[in-house]
Amino acid sequence: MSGPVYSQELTEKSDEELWRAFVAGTSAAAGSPGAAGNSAAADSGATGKGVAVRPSDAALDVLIGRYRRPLFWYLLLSTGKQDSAAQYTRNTWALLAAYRRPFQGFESFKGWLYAVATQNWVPATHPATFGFAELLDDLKRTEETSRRAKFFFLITELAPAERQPFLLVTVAGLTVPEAAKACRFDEERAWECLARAYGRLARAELFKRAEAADEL
Amino acid sequence: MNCREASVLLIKRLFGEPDHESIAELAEHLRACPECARREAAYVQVRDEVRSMEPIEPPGELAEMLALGLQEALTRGTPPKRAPADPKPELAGYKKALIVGTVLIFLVALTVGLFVVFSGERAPVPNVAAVALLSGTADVRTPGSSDWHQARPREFLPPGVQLRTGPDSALKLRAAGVEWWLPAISAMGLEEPGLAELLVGRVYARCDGSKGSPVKLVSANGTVTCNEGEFSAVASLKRLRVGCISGSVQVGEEGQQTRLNAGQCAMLVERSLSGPTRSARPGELAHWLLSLEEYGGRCLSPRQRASVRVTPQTPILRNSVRIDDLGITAVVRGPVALVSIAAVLHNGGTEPWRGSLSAADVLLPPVLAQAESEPIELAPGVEAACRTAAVCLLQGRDGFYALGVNPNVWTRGEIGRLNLRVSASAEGGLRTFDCPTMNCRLKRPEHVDWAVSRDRVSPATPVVLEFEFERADCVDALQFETAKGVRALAAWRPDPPGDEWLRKARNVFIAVDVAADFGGAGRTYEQEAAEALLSCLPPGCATALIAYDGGLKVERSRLALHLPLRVEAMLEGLWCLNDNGESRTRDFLHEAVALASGAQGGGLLIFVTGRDQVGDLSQVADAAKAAGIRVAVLQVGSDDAAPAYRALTGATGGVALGLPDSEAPELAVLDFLANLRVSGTAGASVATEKGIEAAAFPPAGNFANQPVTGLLEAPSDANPIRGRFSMMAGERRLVHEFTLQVKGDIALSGALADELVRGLEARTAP
Repeated sequence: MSGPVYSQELTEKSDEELWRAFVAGTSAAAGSPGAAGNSAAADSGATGKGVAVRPSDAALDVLIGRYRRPLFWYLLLSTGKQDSAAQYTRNTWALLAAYRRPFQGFESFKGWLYAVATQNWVPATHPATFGFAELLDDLKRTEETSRRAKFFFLITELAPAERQPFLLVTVAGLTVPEAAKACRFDEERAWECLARAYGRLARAELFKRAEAADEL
Repeated sequence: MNCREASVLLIKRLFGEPDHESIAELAEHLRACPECARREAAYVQVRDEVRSMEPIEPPGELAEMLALGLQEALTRGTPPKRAPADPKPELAGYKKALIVGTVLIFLVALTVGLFVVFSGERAPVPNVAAVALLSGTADVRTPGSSDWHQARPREFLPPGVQLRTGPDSALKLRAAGVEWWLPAISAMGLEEPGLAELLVGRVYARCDGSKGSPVKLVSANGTVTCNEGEFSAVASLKRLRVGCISGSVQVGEEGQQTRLNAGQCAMLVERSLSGPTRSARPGELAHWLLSLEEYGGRCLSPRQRASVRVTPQTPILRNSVRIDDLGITAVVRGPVALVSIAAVLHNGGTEPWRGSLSAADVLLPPVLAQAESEPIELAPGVEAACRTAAVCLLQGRDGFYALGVNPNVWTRGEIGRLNLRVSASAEGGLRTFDCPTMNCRLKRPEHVDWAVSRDRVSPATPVVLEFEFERADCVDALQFETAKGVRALAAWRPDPPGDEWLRKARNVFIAVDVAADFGGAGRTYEQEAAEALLSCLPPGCATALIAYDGGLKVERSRLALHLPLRVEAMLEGLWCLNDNGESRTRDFLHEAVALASGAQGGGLLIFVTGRDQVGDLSQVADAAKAAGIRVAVLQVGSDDAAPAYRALTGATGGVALGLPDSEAPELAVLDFLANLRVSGTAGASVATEKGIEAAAFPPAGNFANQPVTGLLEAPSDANPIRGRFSMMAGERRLVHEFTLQVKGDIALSGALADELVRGLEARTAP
């Protein structure tokens, strides 16, 4: 998919600056490739469809482009279902776009983004079932199947409350305090869940089981 | 610092920076604990492996979905007021549940209180039976219907209903003045709450006398009537066996009724009394007491139930003798336990009582050695103390080991005070510790030193201590000072693969040697044992019956599904046989193995025989092994299985048990079948270096998953002792090397310790 071409000034901005620009509605001036007010600024952007309706949406488009793949990956690992992950990715960005205010209580935009995704669609406190079989079917059509299948086997071994902190810290790269906020855990509980998750995954049996999946 | 705390610190070190003090503590722990040191490397590996994984490319349609979603969101008029994410921690689920539960309890208590205050007269209790307790699944068929449906808790049962229980279920019904218990594999019709027909199996009834009219149980072979009391009834095709547990019951038809008092049994055949009434065997009585209370009170799991065994020698105290104070102290070292019991008894009756308390009769796992307690003489109104101790093995089942003490068989009255103390170390791989009786669970398995006292305890639920160990071979030792110095009892808990006997032996051949010598109880007892065996076999297996009464009889020899009708046909066939034929046990066993060998896929041959001596059975063993047949032997009328049978069953992976005629056949048969569920092990031995005297006790009954123990006569300068345990599990030899430090850190009174050692030495003598 071809991405949009934004000015270097815009693409080099931090997540927080981009969000502020989006909220303030000033990112058009910060350098969309076309003229100010040209909706082509977002055309073929991260959305790829040119549907952004305001110039400032270029900042949102850059943000979406940055997190399109990692957020989808995180939600896929959380749900085990491709369809659900895509749906939740869409819903997360729609929720943020509709909210359009400064975020509060979170240190970084990234932490907030994953908190929105986690708390609204894959809450660690009310976990949904993991659609592992469906995911494995999907994986059969992808490359690196065996390695990912092994990883998915590992994920299924985790207790639901351990899965989200583990994914947020290890896959999404959040700090543990950020992950705790995203999960609505207190920090100590997040550390314990993370330790338990690592303890489970470190056991050799899981790797053996994962090797069996290579034959699939 | 324990390993759990260390694992959290390891993670903190991996993803953050713990404080310096913690780092120092962690470093110290890592030096002492190689397992945690290995764990850190594994954590890093997991993290790096996960992070190096390339995320999956989202599907193409995601772009379109995003565009539509954003368009909808951005064109929306008013943005939502509520923030899409909340950074504050949410209450943990259990805390929420606690709050909701407290509020609910308060509301329920308030409602009940208001109802009691304002309801005036109590609503009359309808004279309808209802399901009061349901364990497993039981079926109900309402009158006029041909379909069975599953019974539901608190379901009201109309008159004329039929009920049946499965192999692992039990049902308790309650109505005004009567309670019915239907244990596993039984069927009963309930004409009205106080009138039942026992179709097959066993039923217990408790009548409290408040009904006004007597409670009646009918069957094809006779009737039981009871005004006030408890009784047990077992129905089969030709007989009804009745046992009075408490109060009194009338057996027989009207005009020919015989009264049974507590502790008496009678047999009814074709509606009349067959033979004299007899006293209940102690095992029977204990079985009744245990079963009744289990189904009536708190339900024990099968594992917990298995941990408390009643034996024919179990002492039953008179109802007038109560326990004022019971102290149980258990020191657990891996799979061995040293248990001391102190009891203060009080005779509240009018007659003197003489007896003694014996640890072996109230403890299970099997007792390796016990100190004899002094005989007790209790005049009316007098109390006396008694003390005893035993070394026993925790009995394993399904990965759990349990130690059970059953005060219920001592007294049916309340225990004035129960003191329980448990001391265990995690060196033997202890992971969890539970005491369902006292509703407690160990949180930190590194070391247990736990004590609790309760006043006015019902002895209905046995005191069960459950232990779960790491799934690995492990040796631990119990060491205590004696007059001769420190003695160490090392125990090895092997981890051989479990073997569900049904999986390997779906074909079950039952060979009954009718011509054998069954001892004083005679053929009747053999029939009871065979009946219990056939009734207790799981319905999923295919069975065939072979019998010998001087000539070989092949009754129902074709393997077919084991169904109640087939059981009745088999029993009919057995009862028709003569018992005066010439005994040729060995030849019959040969024939039985040959017949069983013809079946596809091997199977299990259960050989029911008497106490006749047999010679060498190695040829039979070879033939059975070649055909994949596991042989199990039930020697009726014999206290213990003959060595030849033990060798045969050991070689084929079966089990040999003696069934003395003082024991309740159902109990022994259930034990027999339960023990068959695991594969056989044999050839246990222990060897040590430095020439230390060592002797191995094989696991009881040669069953897998049970610990092997060795008594080491260790002088004080022998530290550390190195040695090796070994044994065969099926075709596999299991070996485990160990190193022990002899400490002798368990305090036990000198006399008790010396007696225990004498008992252990006596066991090793042969």
